[in-house]
Amino acid sequence: MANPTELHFDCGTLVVPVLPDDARLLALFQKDGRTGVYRAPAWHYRDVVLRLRELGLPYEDKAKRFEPLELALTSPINPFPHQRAALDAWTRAGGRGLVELPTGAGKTLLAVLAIAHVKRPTLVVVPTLDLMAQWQGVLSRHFSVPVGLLGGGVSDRQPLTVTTYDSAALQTEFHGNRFGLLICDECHHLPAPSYRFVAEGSLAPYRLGLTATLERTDGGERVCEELLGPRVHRSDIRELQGEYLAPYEVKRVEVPLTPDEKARYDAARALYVGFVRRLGVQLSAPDGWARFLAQSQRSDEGRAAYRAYREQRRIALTSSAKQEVLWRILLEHREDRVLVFTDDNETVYTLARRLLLPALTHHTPVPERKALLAAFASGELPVLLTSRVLNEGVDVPDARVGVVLSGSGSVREHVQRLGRILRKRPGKRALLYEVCSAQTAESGISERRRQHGAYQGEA
Amino acid sequence: MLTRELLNFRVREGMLRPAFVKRTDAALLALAGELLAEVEASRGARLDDLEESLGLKAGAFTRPKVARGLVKLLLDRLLFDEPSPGVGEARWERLKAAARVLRALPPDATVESYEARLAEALPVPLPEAREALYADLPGNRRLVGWDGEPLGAQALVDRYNLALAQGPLLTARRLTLRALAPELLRVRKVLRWLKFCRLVAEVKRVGEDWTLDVEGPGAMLALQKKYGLQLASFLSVVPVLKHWELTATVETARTQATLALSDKDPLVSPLPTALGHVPEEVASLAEGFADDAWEVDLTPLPRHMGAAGLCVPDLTFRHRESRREVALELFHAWHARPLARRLEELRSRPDGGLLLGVDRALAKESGEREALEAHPQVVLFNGFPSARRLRERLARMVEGPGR
Repeated sequence: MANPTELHFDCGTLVVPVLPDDARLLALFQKDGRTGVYRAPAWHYRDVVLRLRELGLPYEDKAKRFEPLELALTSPINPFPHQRAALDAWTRAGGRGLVELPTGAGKTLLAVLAIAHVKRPTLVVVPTLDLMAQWQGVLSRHFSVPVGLLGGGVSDRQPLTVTTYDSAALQTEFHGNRFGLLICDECHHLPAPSYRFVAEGSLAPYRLGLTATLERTDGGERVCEELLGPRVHRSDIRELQGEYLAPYEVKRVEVPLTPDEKARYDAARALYVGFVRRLGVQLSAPDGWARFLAQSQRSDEGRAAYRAYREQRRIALTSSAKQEVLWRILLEHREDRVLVFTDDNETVYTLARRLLLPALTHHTPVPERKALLAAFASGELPVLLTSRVLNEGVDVPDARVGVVLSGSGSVREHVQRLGRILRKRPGKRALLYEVCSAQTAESGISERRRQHGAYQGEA
Repeated sequence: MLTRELLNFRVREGMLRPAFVKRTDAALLALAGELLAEVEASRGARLDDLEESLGLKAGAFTRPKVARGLVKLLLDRLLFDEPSPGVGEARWERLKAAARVLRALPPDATVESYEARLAEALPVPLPEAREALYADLPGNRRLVGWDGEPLGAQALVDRYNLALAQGPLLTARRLTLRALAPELLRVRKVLRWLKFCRLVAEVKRVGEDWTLDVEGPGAMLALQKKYGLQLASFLSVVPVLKHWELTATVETARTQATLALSDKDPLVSPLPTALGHVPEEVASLAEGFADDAWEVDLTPLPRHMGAAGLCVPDLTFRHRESRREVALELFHAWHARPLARRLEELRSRPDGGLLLGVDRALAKESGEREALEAHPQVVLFNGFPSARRLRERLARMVEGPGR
């Protein structure tokens, strides 16, 4: 009798030293001329095992390093109808697929239900350290097993582990065979070239992608579908507003620059734009910004243009009128919880020092992040200044007011920021201010942000 | 490693050449010495201050980009303290005080009136509170010393040259290394480092020269996994070889180019210089193995084993007539686990061209001994396998069904 087919995991790939003669199996692998084995991306593992079983061929699985887990919920969960529908659809699809739910609609709880259903060691991948800590808290509440963390200086792998995309991209070649269920939170990040390997290099036969906004301008959603499975469920923000999400209102405040600021802004912008035009660089092109940066470091004129770019941006982002409007908003909502979003850390720390307000950036250590969010929730610190770290997923249910002081033109960024203040609370009506400088490039950025259905609530 | 803007190279006719500095460049060695002295004198200084003072020295050098590169490599090897917990505690108290003041303001309050009330509520003047609020940001951390062994001026310049070559490799998908008539111990060190870097290689030999096509395990597949960092790390062992040439297709800002390096370049390996040794017994076997049918080769090619193993045999026997090769790998008393792994790999993927010479000390138990004695590819020995026994086994292999 022939030896059983051996499956091995090697640095994010699936290796078979000797492959049975079957066209479908051969199509999943490539002959590795360098080492003489057959090799496939690790994510083909599920198809390979299913095919071997279908053929009735014996195999020895030395690839996977996980077994079913006894995972009981600490207390029963009664899901919302949209969560039940999403779980059923995902289960019917064989435990693979994408679920698109608006922020605040309970994606984390859906993941808990999926883990309890599949009962396999699970890796949850999230975009930020704040979300990592938050997921750990939620999983610890619902399962009576230790929940590990990989990232932010912590390396504690457990059968249930939460990690960031950055850490997972570095670690998948080592632990891609340790988990049976891969959950990618905010999975619209996955198609980025540096993150794709997180799913490509994992054996996990069960996969769940969660997002509020699957669509990408580059068509990357197809990558999510290939690596995690097809979209199995979608609920629109408008379907859930009022019933499961807080009703909301968007207010746009356009502020003028002072004459002095305007003069300095115009001069700096003319210098920067003039250099870009002479270069013939299209900043909207995929490599436009990189070309500008490279050229700007090669001459005194380029360096001056780069300084001018930063200056005109700084003026638009932190004009005195903007600071005055921010002050008025903070004063008006001094009994509320207010999240202030800016585009960069420099602005966050400038405002933090000026008004003695807490800042939450990527420099903030994990324990201080937790303490800040807890103090914000309790009302001890009613205002949080942040750049982009709170854009996604982090649960701040007590926030009612958001202030977008500056940001990119990304629709996703805007929808995610809106999501921070939409957690349902009795009697809560969320309010998002968008403050932008008139007669600057920023007002154009604001226009781009507004091309989304979420703006139907605009006042 | 150097960041992209600190790399220095020229692309001409599709060839990328790093702008190496001379190892003996007196001005550069003097600058390296000054930078090191500045570091030594700055223990306890803030990161921002140290960066500024090193940056000023770099800016004053005739080749500021090179000097900034040295500074970057220096800073990468320094250790800074953890922030003082007192800063965080004071911040917490002041933020809470400010929150109380904000909440108690009347609806028409101005920023100025807020600041006035803050000044009253805080235990220190407002400007001081602002200054100290985020004093524990990374730029305020203080220099403790070296993260590892301290560098000397020559080592710093050598690391700069290596980093200039490693930078472009970060964009490479594979590289080709030609080792020209290498010594076995040096090529073994390269292969060990290859394995350590989690890379694979297709190894070919033409005459005395070896060619290694090096890439990541998944590079042959449509994976987004990048191996540039591992390839760049692999480069650090290459200068261990005495004579070598290396090429790789790399990406510059606009186009692809070929990076070409060789032993003519001023590259020095920062790895420990120890190479290990060839056991005397192997050398004496090679001398004493006189056989009409077989010749001995002391620089055997590596063999891929099992799913992902790599074996560098101790020697290879080559049949003079058929050119068939049989490699010999020796397992001494302290090699119990490697032997078990090799036997498992042979079971997983048979390799009829490999003989395992196993010390009888590894076959003490009767069950093990019987299994090893019966194994068609195992030769048991005491101390070292005799030339006679090896000749007998080789003769059987030529006659046997595995031929």
